[in-house]
Amino acid sequence: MSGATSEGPLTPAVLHILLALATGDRHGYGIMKQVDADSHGKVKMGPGTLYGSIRRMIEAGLIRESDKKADPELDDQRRVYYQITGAGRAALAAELDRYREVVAVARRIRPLPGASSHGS
Amino acid sequence: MAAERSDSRYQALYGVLLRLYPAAFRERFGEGMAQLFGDLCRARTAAGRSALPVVSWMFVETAVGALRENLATMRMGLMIKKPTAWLPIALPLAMLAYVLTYVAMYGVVRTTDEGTPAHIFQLWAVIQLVTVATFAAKWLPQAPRTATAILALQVVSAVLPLGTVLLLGL
Repeated sequence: MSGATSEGPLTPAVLHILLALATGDRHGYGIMKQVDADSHGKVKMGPGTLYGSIRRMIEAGLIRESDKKADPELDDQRRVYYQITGAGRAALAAELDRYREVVAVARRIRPLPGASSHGS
Repeated sequence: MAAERSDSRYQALYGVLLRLYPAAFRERFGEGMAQLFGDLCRARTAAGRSALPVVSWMFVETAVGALRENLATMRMGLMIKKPTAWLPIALPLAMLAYVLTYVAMYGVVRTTDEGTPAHIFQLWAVIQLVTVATFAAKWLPQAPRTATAILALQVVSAVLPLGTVLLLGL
């Protein structure tokens, strides 16, 4: 279950799905579009990766199926929406903290060895 | 119109591909995956672009996903790490490579007395039997479904060098 819990680093797919769901419930295609927008097209997820990640995330308690339909008039009633759970938000916050720490370290050691830091 | 016909053909093929997933997974997520596949095909077609590249990518990606889910379901991923599980798969493949290399180097040579290659082959056959039997004895009672799948892989792997030797009449 690594990559889908709050204990260790999250996989890129899990992180992006949590980010996509942090702003609202979405169905599969909605998640995919949001991930595409958030990552500027750099993260490509097919149905296999997306639903495999969703299965593991549900088992880990990070997300759950939502009863809410965003817009029943415009949307297919059969579509399943997913929503982030409290554990999912905690895992996302922990992961973002980890990223912030990494960025802070990178900023502290800048300029990197081999750049223009000799003698400083 | 032609694009719509292609899309529905792709959808039908994708439905077949989804059948490779474990039943529980398919029942829960299969419809969503099929909807997503259709959404992506339609988006591509609506943009006036061929759906084929994205369809090909999704087929490969979904096939990999099906394999991953089956491995997770059967917990084969854990069991396959045991030497008694992977040795009877790796050894025949090594033996097959040896046989093919030997044939490539010396051709199909039939001699009356058994040479070193024949002894190596016999040694492998014995080791293969022992390792497969050990695996079956240890894992079949504990996890019959996973063990049977791995046993099938072991048998198929063993058939490859055996079949090659029989086919070439070595």
